[in-house]
Amino acid sequence: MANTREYLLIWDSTMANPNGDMLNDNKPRHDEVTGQLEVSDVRIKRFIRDEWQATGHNVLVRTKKDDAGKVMSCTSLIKEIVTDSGVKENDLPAYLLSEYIDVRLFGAVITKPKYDITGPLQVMWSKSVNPAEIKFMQGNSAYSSGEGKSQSTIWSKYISPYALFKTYAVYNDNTAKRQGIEVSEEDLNEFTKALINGLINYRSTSKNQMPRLLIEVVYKEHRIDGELNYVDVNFDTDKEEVRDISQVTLDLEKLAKYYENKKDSIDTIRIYWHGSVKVENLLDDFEVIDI
Amino acid sequence: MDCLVFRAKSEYAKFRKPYTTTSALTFLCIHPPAVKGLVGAVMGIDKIDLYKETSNLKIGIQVLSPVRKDMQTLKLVSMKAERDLFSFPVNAEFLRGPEYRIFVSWLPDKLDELEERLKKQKPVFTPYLGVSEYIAKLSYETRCDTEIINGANSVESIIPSRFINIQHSDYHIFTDNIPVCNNEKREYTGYEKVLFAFREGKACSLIGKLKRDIYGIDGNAVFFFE
Repeated sequence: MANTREYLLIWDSTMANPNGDMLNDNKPRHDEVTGQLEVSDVRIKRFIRDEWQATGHNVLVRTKKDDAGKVMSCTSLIKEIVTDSGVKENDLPAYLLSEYIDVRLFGAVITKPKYDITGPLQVMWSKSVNPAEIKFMQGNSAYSSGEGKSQSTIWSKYISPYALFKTYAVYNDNTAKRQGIEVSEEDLNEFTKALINGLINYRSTSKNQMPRLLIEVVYKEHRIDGELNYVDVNFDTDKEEVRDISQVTLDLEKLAKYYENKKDSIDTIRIYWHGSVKVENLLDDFEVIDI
Repeated sequence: MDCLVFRAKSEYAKFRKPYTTTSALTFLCIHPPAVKGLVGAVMGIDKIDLYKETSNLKIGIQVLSPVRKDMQTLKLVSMKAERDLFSFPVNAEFLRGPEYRIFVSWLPDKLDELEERLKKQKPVFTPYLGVSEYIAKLSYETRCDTEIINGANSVESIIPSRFINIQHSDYHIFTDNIPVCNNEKREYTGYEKVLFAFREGKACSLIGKLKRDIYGIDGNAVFFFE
C-alpha cells in the first residue's frame, strides 16, 4: 500500500480561460474582491482523467455516447458495464475499484445500484497567486449562422492574459485502508504523470496551461499538513503586470525548513520542474524527477 | 473543565443549509454538528458511529475571519434523465477564507488522543470545511482547565441570542439560525439563532449581560454548546 502524501502543483495559464463560470457569461472563475482567478477541483481532475483515457487507462467518469449518439447517463453507463463484464451487482464496487483508476483514487457516486465510494485522493480548489486581468474579446468567424446572411457570425469570449496557480492535493492512506481500496505506488505515479501531462496535453482555444513545479511530499508515518503552502512565488514585476514565467522565481526555503523540522516523518520529497522556471533553495535531499 | 483549543482554516467553506436543494446556500459559520464531523475526521470515527461517539462533546466556536459569502457555479450530473439532460449548471453559495477557533471539552482520554493527533498533524481522515474539496488546515493551540467566569459581561465565541442581553456598540453583529444538534440519521433536530461580532474587519467581543455559564480560556470568554 502507498503511504500518505501531499502535493503542491504550481502551474500557469496564458491567454486563456482556465475555468469558465457558466452562469456568469463563462468569465474565468474569480474572486471579485482580490482579483485572483480560481479553478475547481473537477477541472483539474478532468485534465487527469482525459490524460488517463488517452494513455489507455479505464476511466469511469467520462462522457460516453450510446449507439444513437446520445450522451449516456450514469445509470445506463453502469448498466452497460454490468452487462459487458457479467459482474454481479454485489461485486460491482470491487470490480470498479480494480478496473478504474479514477474510482480507486477519486472515488465515485453510483446511482443504481446505489454506492458511495469515498476517494482517498482529494484535490482542493485552486487560486491564482496573482490578481489577474479578465479581458473581453470578439472576432469574426468564417461562417454565417444561417442561410441568407450578409455577414459571418461574431464570436465573443473572456480570457485572462496570465495567471499563476497553486493546486493542493492530498492522498490519505487511512481513507483507502478503511474502505478496503488497494492503492499502489504505481497508481500514484500514474496520478503525477497524468497531472503533469494532462495539463500539457489539453489544448483548446480556451485552455493553454503549463505545469511549472510539482512537489510531492511522501510521509513515512501518516501526516497531513493541510495546505503544504511552502513555496514563495516572487515576481520581478508588479503582481498585476506579470505575463510570463520568466518574471517569476519560486523560492523553496519554507519547504526546506518544513523538511528539516519533520524529517522523522518524511520519507521523500520529489520535485518536478519545468525547464524555464527559476527555483531557489532546492535541497540536495530532494529527489528531482523527470516526467 | 478540561478543554482543548485548535484553529481550523481554509480558502473556502460550505456548510449547506439542508432545506436548500440544487442551488445550495451556506450557513454563516461552522456549527456544532459540523465541528463534530471535523473532530470525527481527526479521530477516524466512522460516519455511522459519529453520533454516539461525540454525544458528550461540548463545543465552543469563535469566528476569526470576516464573513464573506460568494456564489460559484457548479455543473451537476443529472441522476434521473436518461436522454434529455446530461448535466446542468447550478449556483452554489460558499464562504471565502474562513478561519475558526474551536474549543472542545470531552472525556480526558478522548482529548488526549485529539491533542496528540492535532499536535503531530495526524488526522486519520482528511479534514475539510463542509465539502471534501475545501481541505482544512488545523493547528493545535492549547489544552487547559477552564472555569466559569462569574458575572461575565462579554463573550468572544458565538452564542445563542436568547442567552445574552446584548449591549449595542460600534461593532457589526452577524446573526444566523444554525443547527446545534442532530440525530442518528444525521438530520438537524435543533436550531439556535446565534450572534457574533466584528469591528473594523476583526473579530471582537459581544458585550452584554449573559444568562448562561461562560468559561474563561486563554483570555477568551466562551459559550459551550452541549
